[in-house]
Amino acid sequence: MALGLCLLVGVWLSLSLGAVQLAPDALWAALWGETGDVAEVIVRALRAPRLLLAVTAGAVLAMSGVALQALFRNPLADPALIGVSAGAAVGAAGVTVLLPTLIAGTSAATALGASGLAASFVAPVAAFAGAVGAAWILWRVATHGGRPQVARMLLAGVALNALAGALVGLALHAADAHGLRALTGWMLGSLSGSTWATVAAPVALAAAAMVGLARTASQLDALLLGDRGARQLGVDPDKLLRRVALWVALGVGAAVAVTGIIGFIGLVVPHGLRLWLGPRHRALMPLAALGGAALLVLADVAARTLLAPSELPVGVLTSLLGAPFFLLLVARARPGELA
Amino acid sequence: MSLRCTGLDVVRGGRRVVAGVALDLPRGQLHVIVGPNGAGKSSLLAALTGELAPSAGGVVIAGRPLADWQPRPLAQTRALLGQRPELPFAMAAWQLVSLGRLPHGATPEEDDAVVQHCLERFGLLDLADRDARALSGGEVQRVNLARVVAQLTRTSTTAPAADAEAAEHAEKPGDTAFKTTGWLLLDEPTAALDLGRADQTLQLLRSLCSADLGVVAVVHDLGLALRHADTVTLLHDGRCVASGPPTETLQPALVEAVWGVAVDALRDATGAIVALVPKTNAALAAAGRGL
Repeated sequence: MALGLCLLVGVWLSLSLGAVQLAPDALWAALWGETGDVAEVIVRALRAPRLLLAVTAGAVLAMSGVALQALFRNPLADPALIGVSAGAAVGAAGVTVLLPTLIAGTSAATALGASGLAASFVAPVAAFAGAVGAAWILWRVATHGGRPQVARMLLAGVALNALAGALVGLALHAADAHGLRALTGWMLGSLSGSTWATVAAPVALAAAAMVGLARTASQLDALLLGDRGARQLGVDPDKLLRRVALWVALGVGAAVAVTGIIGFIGLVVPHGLRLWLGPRHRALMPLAALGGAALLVLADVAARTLLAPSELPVGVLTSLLGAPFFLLLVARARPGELA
Repeated sequence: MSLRCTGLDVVRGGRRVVAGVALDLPRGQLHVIVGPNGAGKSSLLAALTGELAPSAGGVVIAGRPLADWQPRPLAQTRALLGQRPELPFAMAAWQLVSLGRLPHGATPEEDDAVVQHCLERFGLLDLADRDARALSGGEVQRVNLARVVAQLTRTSTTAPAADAEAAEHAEKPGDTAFKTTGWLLLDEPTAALDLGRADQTLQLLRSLCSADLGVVAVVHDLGLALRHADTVTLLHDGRCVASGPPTETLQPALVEAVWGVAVDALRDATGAIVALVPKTNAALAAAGRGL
């Protein structure tokens, strides 16, 4: 209830606020009117796709956090923190900036950047591949004898994030002015510049991932009892791992391909909800989607308006709020709980 | 509807931990498995649930070989209480019990009713809302017992034969009947329990046994086995040394040979053995008095 209300308020603010502020009646007219004036263009062509992207990205990041935390049996697993988002960013950056630069020179990069829909498909696929690669490395390093170990997971995340940072840095070196802006966007996480053409494909893919993740809920419940306990309840933990890894990589890949790395949504939202609802995933998954969407929409509104007319990258804002939260979690953990 | 295994071999780490065990356990009874440390009790239990694949021989549950069962029907037919699972997140005791309901895919109402019923059966209603990770060892043990019982329990309204009218009847509070069917396999269900609780728990498990339900429990306390079991199976070095009624299996001479300790038999007024106590204890006690 409260979460739904937050999301509604966020939706309204996100559509009304900005360089052109709209009163509720003007917003209504702009949404459904036929006059073709400036307000209509702003709301329908600029703010609506951006809002849709914020809702989807927030939801899929929060659900991915829930699923990863269940797999790793630890509340600290967040797609950005453990390097899955960074892997996706490398994939997206590599294919849209580096490849054209290397192959056909700068004009191709601009052409690719401009040819909306095609690029909006290529980037998510590359980001998906990057996320799968990062997740695979992570799993290989973070498990010992088939059991995930948290210290290894976090250390692997540190290394993956550093590696991804270096690779993106390499791309920076090779990029032209257009690529430079795109790369900064990926590293900091931003929703700006969304149009229907750039948003459509990633939103569809992320929505598919959300459905896939929601359907693993009861199997993730079984995993609360560990691998052995899950088997006793008729759930194959290895199959479940592959399914969840696939959906998380697809969802995070699709979101990151357009938004860049937005951290801590997948950490903060599931943690808060678990305190309230307990760890059962049938309730957790849909509410995490709602909470993640509300949080990112509100964060984006804040990012656009706090320092107006200039705009903060929303990833900077979520990290500003999320990193202290993470530190608090670590500081409050009982001995042995995180090791 | 029995639980059978024939010529069962389990190899772990190159060692044959279960060697040629053959059992035929009827439902409606409490079967206790005893044996010294490393005798292969837990491995036998794991093989009976299908968790460990045997290298030879096979297990048959309710007339069907284990390999022929689909995961979900099997999960509704047998439940294992293993080592205490480590919980990754805070979770109320009732939520831990409710995890046993996952294989059923039942309505939330039925799940709630079964969970409530199982909490009540094990005297856990007072603990239902406490964090399962903050409970004492004995309390957690009982919560997990309630969980595995919930895994095999359904309300009679969900039985396939129930017609609409009967279902309507059962909706009235207090009218719901519960049925626990299949096989409970329990690895040391009394390990963390105090003297009274251990006795009570085995009594309760014995009373759960019915035409529909059989219980197999690994127990270390031979006195508990003597007092509550219908049959006792004695394992030694992976082999089944004896199997039958408790007083026949747990002969003092055999116990001395298998455990390698001299024992005294305590008898009740009728002359039946109720406990076997290592003689070294008496010797130690005497030595203690001498100091």
